[in-house]
Amino acid sequence: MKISDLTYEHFSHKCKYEGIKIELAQSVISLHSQYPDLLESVFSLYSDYSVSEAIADFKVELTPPLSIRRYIKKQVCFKCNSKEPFMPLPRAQAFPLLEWGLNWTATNHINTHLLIHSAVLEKSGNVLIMPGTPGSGKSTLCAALTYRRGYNLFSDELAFVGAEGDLVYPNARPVSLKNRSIDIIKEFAPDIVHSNVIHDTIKGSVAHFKPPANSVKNIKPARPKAIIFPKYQADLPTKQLKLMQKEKADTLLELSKHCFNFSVLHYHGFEILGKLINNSNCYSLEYGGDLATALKAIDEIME
Amino acid sequence: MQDSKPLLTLNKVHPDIGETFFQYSDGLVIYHRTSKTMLRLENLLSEIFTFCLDHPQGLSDADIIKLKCGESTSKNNIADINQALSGLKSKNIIVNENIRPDI
Repeated sequence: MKISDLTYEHFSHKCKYEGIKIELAQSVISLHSQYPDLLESVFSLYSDYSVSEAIADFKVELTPPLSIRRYIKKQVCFKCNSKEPFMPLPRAQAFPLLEWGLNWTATNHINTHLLIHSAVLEKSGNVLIMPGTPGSGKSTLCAALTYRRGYNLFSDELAFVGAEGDLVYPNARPVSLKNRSIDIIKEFAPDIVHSNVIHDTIKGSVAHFKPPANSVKNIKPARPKAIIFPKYQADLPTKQLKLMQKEKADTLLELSKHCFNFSVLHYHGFEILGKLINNSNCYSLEYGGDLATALKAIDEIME
Repeated sequence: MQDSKPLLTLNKVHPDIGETFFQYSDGLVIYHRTSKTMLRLENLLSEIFTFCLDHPQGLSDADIIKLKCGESTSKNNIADINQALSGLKSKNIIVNENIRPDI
């Protein structure tokens, strides 16, 4: 049964009183909250996800703090299995806090895979990994490839690389976009459902876009084909592009800096990462403002 | 017995270096287990590392002479190799044992 098979009343009742178990590709969460705006966003953006009957891996709660800030200048707390990893945030940021909390939950608990901070997409059985620091434009490219180029969204945030380094596992969740990227993608793909834009977060203005139903349904791993380090360069002429093949030893060292659990997996993580690089072509891509030019170059790599 | 000069020098890959390493056109990447860091070796360093790896029992004087003067590194002079060897030793990538047979 999918979330969209429930009425909103039934869904919100479960969230408020017993928790609703949502099956993500790599874990099951039990979500508990009473905030109507948060529940409306979850109901809308997670409508294609299955409601699970399995035991939940993580109990996730979004609740008011036990202080005066539950009444005045209201705040919201994120808890995972009763632990509270973050300071409370302003109440209006409940949905972004849930998404950031789910990222934290995965990166701090799942060590069956090597986790790399990157956007991940799949096309014709081949996986594209795009690591990048904040502001590099990886999520913008990821959204454009997902909503306009027919790529399967594996994740806009985390690559789950299997133990042999030859398979990457999907973990599609809403695509997080910030600041100018929100309007760019709204213009690029005006029909995509998204959350309200939340302003004044630590990342600026933030909105989340609904993952395509196919990406949620598709939970088969695929083989890595390319690793591209994108970099949006405001000073480049709009349609200009710098695409360069990257040397692999360089890529290995650079990619290790984007891994969340490299130190946990230790030597095993090194082997996974090396095999992943062996299986992939590696590039750096600097692009100006024109998304279409960048997408065309990526398409050619993935053909 | 003369004990002032080693009769045999052994240079072996340090046990902290895992069995797996990755060699690419721009260098060789190894993993150091104790410090949990990756190290990239280029050019002569990577050549000496793989030479040591091919000689798991360690290098004899003859091997070192071969490394210094042999086919693979003939273009490099001895000072470069000595510097590279001591660099690899200082990073705990290879170990050095001086053996003086008690004969």
